[in-house]
Amino acid sequence: MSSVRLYRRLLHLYPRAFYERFGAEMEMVFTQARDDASSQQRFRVFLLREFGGLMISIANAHWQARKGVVRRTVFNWRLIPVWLFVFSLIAAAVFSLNYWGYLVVPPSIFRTLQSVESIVLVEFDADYRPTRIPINQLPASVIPDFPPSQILPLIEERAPETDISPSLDPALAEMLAAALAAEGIELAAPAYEYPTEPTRPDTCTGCFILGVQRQPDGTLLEIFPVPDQDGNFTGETYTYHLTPEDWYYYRYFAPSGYVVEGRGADGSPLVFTAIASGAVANDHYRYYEFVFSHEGNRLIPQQRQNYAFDIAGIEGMTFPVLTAVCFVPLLLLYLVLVIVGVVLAFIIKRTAQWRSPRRA
Amino acid sequence: MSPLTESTFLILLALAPGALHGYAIMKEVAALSNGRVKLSTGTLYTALHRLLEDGWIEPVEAEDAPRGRRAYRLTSTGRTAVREETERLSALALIARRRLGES
Repeated sequence: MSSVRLYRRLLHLYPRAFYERFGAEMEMVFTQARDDASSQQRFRVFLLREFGGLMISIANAHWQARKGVVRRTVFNWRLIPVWLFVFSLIAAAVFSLNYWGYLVVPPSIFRTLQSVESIVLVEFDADYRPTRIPINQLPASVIPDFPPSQILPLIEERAPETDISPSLDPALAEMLAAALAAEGIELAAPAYEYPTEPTRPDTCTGCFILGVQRQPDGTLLEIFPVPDQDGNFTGETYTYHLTPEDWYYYRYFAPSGYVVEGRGADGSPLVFTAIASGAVANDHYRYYEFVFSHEGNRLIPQQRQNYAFDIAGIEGMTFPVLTAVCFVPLLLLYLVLVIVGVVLAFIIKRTAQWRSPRRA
Repeated sequence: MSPLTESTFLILLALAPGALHGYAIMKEVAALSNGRVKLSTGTLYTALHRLLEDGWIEPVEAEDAPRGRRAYRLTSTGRTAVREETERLSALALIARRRLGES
């Protein structure tokens, strides 16, 4: 392709108005300059300068063509609510992803399992070893916003006929402990361990709490001694129902969740595990999910995800709520400023009219 | 008025004596700068576009000119701008000479 033909084609990269105004003229000037340069044996330098200059000029022309539009769009006060909304969306998304680890719906990788063969409810010790627990010891069974509860419907959908297994294969438990240890996730033992059979107040010296009992509705019944005026126990007790909304609720529980055996899309055996960790970091409780495949007597991680739950004080403040929380005050502030601006403009206009010589 | 870029100033200077078409402007700019400033066609027309928008130059349409053979000339605004820039540069040169003890 000749340099003139290439130049002619590149001229079409200019904004349409610029091209229509200068395109033919530029091609003619380029042709004249090329003829001149080739006769003086400076052709390579000429081409470098011309095509380099053309690229810069095209970029410049596009910026100049849009500069006014950008300025009119960005600085239009009527569009400020739109920018405030966009800002709120971005801020809420960044905060939600950073704080919770998801935008709207807590994600799950459970659907990797195409079929389910066994489900075991477990809790984990500090060495990541799972132990089967009865359903009434798993908060997930009764508490809707406990993360493992979110996947209960998924499990039921995949395995409507599968009952919760009464035992956990010890070999699988060992493999799972080794695999989870290799993942380096943080689990924490329950922060508070109190007898489920309350201590008798008259035998308790210096007790702050006599016992904690798990209730069928998922709440925890804390039993406290009633002291007299001197601080001695009266023998009476009072109770408090601790709910998941109380920040220290989960600290009575060992890390717990599910171990589900099933098969993937290709029929290969997979192990899914969900763990609600008791570990707190930056006001987060961590929730983990893993999908492992079998390789001999080892479990190999195939997928992993985690997010946070029950963050102190801002439960439920995920992306949609945060967007509203951010946008509404900004919008109100904008409206107040607009009203103040309109009133000030009115006052200034009236004052100017009042002071004008015609009035005087 | 903010200082003009060298190429803009040279383009305006090239047009000071009278109307020129694009290629003649390029050659005149190279001549005025002793071959130091060589404008590419793209750079030249970006500058011409801006000068037209600012009203410092205007096109001269010759009836018998072929398509694309359009000449440009300075407007009175453009001439004033060249004059002001020349005075600014002269003042600057004067200060420089005094500092260097040459006058």
